[in-house]
Amino acid sequence: MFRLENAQISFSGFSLNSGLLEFEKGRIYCLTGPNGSGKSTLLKIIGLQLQPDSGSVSIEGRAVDYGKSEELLKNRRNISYMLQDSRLFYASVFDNAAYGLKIRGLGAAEIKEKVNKILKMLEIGHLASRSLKGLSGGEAQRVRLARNLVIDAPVYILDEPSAGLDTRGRELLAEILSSYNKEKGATIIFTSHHKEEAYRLSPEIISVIDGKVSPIPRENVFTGSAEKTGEKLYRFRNENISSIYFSSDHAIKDKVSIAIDPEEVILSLTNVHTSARNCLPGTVKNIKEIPSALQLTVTAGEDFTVLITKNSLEEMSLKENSPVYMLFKATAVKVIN
Amino acid sequence: MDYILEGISEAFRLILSSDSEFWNIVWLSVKLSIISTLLASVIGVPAAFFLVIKKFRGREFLITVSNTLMSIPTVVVGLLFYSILSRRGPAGDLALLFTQTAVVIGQTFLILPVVVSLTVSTIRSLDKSVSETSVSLGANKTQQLLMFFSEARFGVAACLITAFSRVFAEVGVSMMLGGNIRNYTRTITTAIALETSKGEFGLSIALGIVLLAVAFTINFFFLKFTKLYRTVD
Repeated sequence: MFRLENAQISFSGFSLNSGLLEFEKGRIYCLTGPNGSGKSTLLKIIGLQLQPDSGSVSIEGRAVDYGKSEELLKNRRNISYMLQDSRLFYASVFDNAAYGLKIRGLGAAEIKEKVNKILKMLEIGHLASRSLKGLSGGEAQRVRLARNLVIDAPVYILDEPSAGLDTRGRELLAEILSSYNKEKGATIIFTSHHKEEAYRLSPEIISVIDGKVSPIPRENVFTGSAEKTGEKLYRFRNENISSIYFSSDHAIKDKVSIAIDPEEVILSLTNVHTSARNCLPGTVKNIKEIPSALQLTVTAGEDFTVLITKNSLEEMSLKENSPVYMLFKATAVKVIN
Repeated sequence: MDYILEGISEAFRLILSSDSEFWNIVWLSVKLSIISTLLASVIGVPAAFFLVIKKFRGREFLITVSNTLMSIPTVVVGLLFYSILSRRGPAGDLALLFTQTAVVIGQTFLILPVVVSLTVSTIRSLDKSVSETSVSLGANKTQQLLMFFSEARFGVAACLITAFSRVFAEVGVSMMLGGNIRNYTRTITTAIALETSKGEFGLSIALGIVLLAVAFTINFFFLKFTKLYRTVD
């Protein structure tokens, strides 16, 4: 649906490059990364709020032409975009929530029905006629959400939608997003600081660190603790894994989630000394054929997914319960948060 | 010391009375100030929006000129229009000097820069969030502009209140262009100046109290009004 090819933007000492990034229809994506890493900037580029200095953005295979304002507007209106700290206008809660529908030219009766419905879903129906004065931060955020979620769009791009929400608010948000995705097939792209709720939607995860964008494979995601063992080098461990070395330019707090790309893992029958820092002994638990490769599940404390070719499997004569060593570099380990 | 206390008691007697001359002075001040504020807003507010939205050469220069003129002394404006409107001046034939019209012209000119400059800075302080938010929700160019005007309304109203306060309290223009003619161009401030020089403290103090009361009332209600709509605490 959306395809970004080296969309690049620089301003005041910061620069971001999307690399090749694709978003498929009907899926959920979550952008993660530290503050100031470029998540919002990337979202703005995807949501056509910001024109990249170079590179291209295409929708359904058509490159976006930022010079054609009508086409741009049409594309923008297919997206319900929520800015981080978007402004609430000097108007009642209802009128704020109705803004997106009004400018799309919907009739008053339809607007009333839809807005009241979404306000009820977000449990702020009783605030409809109120002015913004006296609303709490959480209520204000629900009003912002109502304003975006009331729009019937194929794509929702939400920058920190759960900021300032209480637990109940975050639950409601996750429920609504999940139902939009399942029932209407909506594509959802968002950023979030609340991992539990965010990951409940089981999104594809894209990490943005220092303006560098990398989609993180959903396989081999482990959570545990990290300790520093050298310059930019850390050792990960949890109750099932005794040690995985990984590198990071950023200081890592003790709790960490990591992901290892299945394609970056090499299998070996012996414990060989290579430049790869990690060498984990394990047992083949399962072998599954997938298009163009074989997917192996290797147990080494936790279950790892590894991709190898048919030839390699035959050469190594691997079978279920074969002992193997998994080798991968410290740089193959991605830090999710 | 006694004359001050006598003045104060005389002031309250006047305020509580139905002395027509006293209330005529008050009404004239209010009327002229409202007219000049309205005229200055009709010219100044669109001018300010134009200065912010349109990009052209000399824009910043015009804004700087307007900022400078904000602090122009009232007597200088008085002097300027006196020389234009006096019989020997270029607009002498209109015979406007020492009329209410002359006062309105001078006062409008006096506060026009106040309206323009304050409105410009108000609109600029509205920052990008208004247009960014409306664009993100799918607004076209016209809808963006309408939202911009709508969000600016309280800020602009505050600028007009400031302009009204300045014109309501000024004395130089009213004195030089109105001439302080009894029952015709005598305003609160010119009356205070005259009565004080005559030693009539009672009337001066009474007018001073009314002046402050009017200014206070306007600001009080404005604050109440904007608070109703003030955004999230």
